[in-house]
Amino acid sequence: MSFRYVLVCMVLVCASPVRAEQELVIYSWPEYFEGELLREFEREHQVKVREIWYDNDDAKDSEFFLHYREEVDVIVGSGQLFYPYLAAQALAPLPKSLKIPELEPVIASSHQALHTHALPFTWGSLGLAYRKDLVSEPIQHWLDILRPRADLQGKINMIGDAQDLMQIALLALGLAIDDDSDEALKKAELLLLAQKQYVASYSYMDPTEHAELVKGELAVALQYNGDAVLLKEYEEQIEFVVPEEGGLLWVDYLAINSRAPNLDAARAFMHFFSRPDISARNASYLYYASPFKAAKPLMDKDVAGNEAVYPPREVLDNLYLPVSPSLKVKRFQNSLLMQLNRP
Amino acid sequence: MGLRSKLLLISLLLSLVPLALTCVGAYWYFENKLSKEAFHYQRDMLNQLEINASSEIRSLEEMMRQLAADGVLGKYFETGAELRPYLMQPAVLRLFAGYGRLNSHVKAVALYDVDGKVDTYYSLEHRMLSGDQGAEIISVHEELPGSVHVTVEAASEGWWQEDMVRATIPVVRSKRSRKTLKSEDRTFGYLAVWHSLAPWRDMLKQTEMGNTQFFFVDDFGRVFIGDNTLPFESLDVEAMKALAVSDEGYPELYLNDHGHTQVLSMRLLVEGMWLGALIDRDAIIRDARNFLWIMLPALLVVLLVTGLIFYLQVIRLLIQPVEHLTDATRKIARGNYKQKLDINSKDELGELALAFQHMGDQLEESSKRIRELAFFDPLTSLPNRATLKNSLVSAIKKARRHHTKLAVLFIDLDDFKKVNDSFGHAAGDELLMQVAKRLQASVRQDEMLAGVDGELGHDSLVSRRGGDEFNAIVTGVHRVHEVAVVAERIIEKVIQPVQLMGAEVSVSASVGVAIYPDDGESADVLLRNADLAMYEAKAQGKNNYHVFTEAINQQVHERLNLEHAIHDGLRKGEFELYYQPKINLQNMQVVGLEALIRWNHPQRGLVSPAEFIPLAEESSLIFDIGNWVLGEALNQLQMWGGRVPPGIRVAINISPRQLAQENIAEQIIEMAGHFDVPLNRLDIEVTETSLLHDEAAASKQLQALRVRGVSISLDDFGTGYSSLTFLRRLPIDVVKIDRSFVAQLATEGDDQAIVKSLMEMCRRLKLRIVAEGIETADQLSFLVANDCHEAQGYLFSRPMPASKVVAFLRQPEYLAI
Repeated sequence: MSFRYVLVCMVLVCASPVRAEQELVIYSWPEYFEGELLREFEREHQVKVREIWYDNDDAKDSEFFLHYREEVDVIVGSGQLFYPYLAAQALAPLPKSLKIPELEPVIASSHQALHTHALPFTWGSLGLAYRKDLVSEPIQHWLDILRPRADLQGKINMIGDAQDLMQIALLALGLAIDDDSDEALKKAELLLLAQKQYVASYSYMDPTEHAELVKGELAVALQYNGDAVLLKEYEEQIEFVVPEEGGLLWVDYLAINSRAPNLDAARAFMHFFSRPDISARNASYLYYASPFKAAKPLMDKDVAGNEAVYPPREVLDNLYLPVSPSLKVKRFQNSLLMQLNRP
Repeated sequence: MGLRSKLLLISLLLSLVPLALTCVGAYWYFENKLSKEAFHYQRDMLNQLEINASSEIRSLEEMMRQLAADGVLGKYFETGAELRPYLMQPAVLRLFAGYGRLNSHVKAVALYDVDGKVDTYYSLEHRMLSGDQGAEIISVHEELPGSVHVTVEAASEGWWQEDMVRATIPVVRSKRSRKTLKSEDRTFGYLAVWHSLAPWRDMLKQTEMGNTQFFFVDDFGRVFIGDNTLPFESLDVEAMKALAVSDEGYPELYLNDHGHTQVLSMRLLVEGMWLGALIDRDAIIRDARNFLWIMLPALLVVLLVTGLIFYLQVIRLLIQPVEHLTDATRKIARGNYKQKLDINSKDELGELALAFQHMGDQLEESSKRIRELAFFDPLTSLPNRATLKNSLVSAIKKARRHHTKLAVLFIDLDDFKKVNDSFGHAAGDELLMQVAKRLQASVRQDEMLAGVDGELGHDSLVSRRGGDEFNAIVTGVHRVHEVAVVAERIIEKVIQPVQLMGAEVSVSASVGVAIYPDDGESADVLLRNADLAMYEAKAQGKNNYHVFTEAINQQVHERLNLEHAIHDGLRKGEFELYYQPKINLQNMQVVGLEALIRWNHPQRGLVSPAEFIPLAEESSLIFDIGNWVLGEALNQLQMWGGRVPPGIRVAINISPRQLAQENIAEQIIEMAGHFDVPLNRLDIEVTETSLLHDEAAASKQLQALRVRGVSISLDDFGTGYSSLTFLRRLPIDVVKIDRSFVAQLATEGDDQAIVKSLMEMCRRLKLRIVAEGIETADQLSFLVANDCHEAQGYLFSRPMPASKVVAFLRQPEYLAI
């Protein structure tokens, strides 16, 4: 029996939902929590934390409803995507005892409707990470990648999120981010479809040392700010930029599944992550900003002081918070993504 | 007609007859069977195609059912309509994308709501802008759960560049009714799949049938897959539907277009999709015929080539060897026996060739043998008489040309008959062979041998003529002396003793020589003259040679004349018998008469028997003479009758050659009977020499006569062997002492003693003694004194004609002495 096989067995044993012991199942982005923090939580609450990871916003929701509705206790998700959950009564309200600490101003004004059911977790911006050495001119505009020069053919990495793509296109076209007129939608769609031939992939590029951008196989990628910071550690030539037309602001929240098997643990988890110190530690780990004002001073200085993580005022002013799409827009986005994804 | 042309004809027939039969058979077969089979085959293809096309639809339907039953769709409809796009539509789209990846012919998948409005649409090809969503409405059919509705959507309808198969299936879920609390099926929407026609198009492509056009039509009769050579673009819907399967099977529609018959068959695959087949019946038949027109010339070529090969093989294996043999036969017929036959095949012909060669060898052998028999004497291997003649003719020609002489030798062995009689024929043959060798040696020894015709392959000039006669030719002769040397050598050699049956025997030879051109200029003459010369040599005492002379020739001429005269004389009655009495010396009575022949020749007068009897003895005239004498004597005796006393015997002389006749005793007895003369009145006189020739045979004849009463006298006794034993052995009664002794009796001396002893000897043997030629009284006295029994001679009477005998007997004149 090889070591590898033994390892697999152990993982399977650990992963198996042994309900005899208290378990908390978190549905989240990969490696979104610092392991030590989770261990602390486990010790404090005599609960075993199990993570189920998703890597795509679109798939996340349907997968949850199809498979994990009865399994997951805590869901991680961006703000605008939680509105349908609320409508579907898929979220349990935050414990009454939980008091959300003072939020950063940019967060406080975002998705306020969610605040009864979702705890702000982290936030950031969506911009472009590019290789200075691999582009002839610095990237400054969305159109630099949406209507790229021929030399970027196949060197562009996009993101599998129709909402983000759509809004980037609207921004690039100088349109309002919430313009849902047929004309605006059509223009954005045409722009994205026209870009398709230059795009290497619509999958989010993981920020690892093996990333194509690090290796120089790609020249530019749509990237979240924190990940771009990570990538820069692997390759100095990588630059993160929020185009002049404006970037996208995103806020991730923690919410409790209304059918959570371990509601108590879920609530405890909410309490745990409403603590600024905990939030600060996790934000430092993630290279992302904490939503809590009180957390920033507690964070690692090089993270808290990084303008990519905590953008300066002028950048923040140039970030747009995506709105939850209307039914029509959502359908449109679904169809657009289908067209972008099809071979 | 030669074998070659016959074979060629047969080969042609063998090629053409099957061809003709094949033509007829193939035509019938194609016309009646193959075209039908082809027709059936086309129908089978249609059936097969129907199965394939249907199964493609069935698999599409099955996939549709699976897709419609997918849990994602259930969840989708469970989710509230307002939330679906947010929470479930991406999953549905992923489901459709996965379905599209699995089924390459799927071009689009759409989910419709119960009202037929597009809900979720996934397309692979159609660039439908997302803004168009919800614009499409499909006609919603009341479908049973799980049933798939298949239609063909024409490209002209706007969505597609090409025709598509669209399959729709209701998405049905069980739902528990709140009122009844019962579970019931509810249709939430419809699933539609646009499927490329490629599988069906490929089916038609793979089913490339020359004479059948397959096509697909929709429910409206529109051809959506089909060759553009089809004579129609759409079918009459009513007519098409009439071709759907019925209880009697599949109906067919015969389309006749200007005499061109095509058969239309239709198969309903699913509602909205028909498979059609247009079978070109005429083309099938035409194809069959075309095939025939291609096949038949090919067959003709094959058969002709086969026939030609057969023909050439037969020529090579049969005709050529036969021609070879024929050729060889002709050569053999021309005498060229040694035939080398180049037939090496190990078959019957090879054996024939071997047999043939063997036959040639045998023929050559036989021919050589025949030639030898024709030209050579088989016993001695010397050239035979004919060869000698040819050689001689050639030699003469040559001699004439070169003005030389040549000699012909005629060699005859003396007394060869004795050797034959004493030692048998085998010994005689052996002797002849020895002699032949010696002759050859004798002649060869002489370097005067001339070349002889090479044709016979013999250079010897010695030949055997037959019996004990040989010939030799000596060429290049200048003087007679040279030939004499050869002749002498021959004689010398031949007489050398030979060992025969353990005894030493020697024979001598008599040789006659004739010289060209002195003694004759032709082969015949030379041979005859040599023969005559040889006779002359024999006459001169044998064991010597004689060269032909004109004297011999003359003698021969004389003899021939004499013979002629004797012959004539016998015919003309010139001969006459005289009788000389024999007197008994005791009582002086006549006791017998010796018949003696006389020849009164008209020119020569009386001719002495001593002149012509020896001559006659050498030819067959002696028999004529002998017979005449016998007949004449018997006739005389008959005529005399009682006038000559019975005690008087008539003595008749029988020559040696007469006595040598096997039936002489019989002849005499028969003739005596004829003349009615008692045999005891006859006395036969024979000479010693005639008995010597074949003593046994002669004794037998004489004995036969004696037994019948004929008395036998030995004539001229004393001149030959006169041995006591000889006398004792012979069956004789009387001995006649030769007149030469009697003539000398007058003088005292040896003769008296001889006669005395002779008489004494005869008395001892109890033989009567007759003395011949008594002419004087002294002789008579002596004979009487010595008790001689009888005597005859002039003293008593000269021979007298028959007419005087009776008178003489009545008054014997001798009594006066």
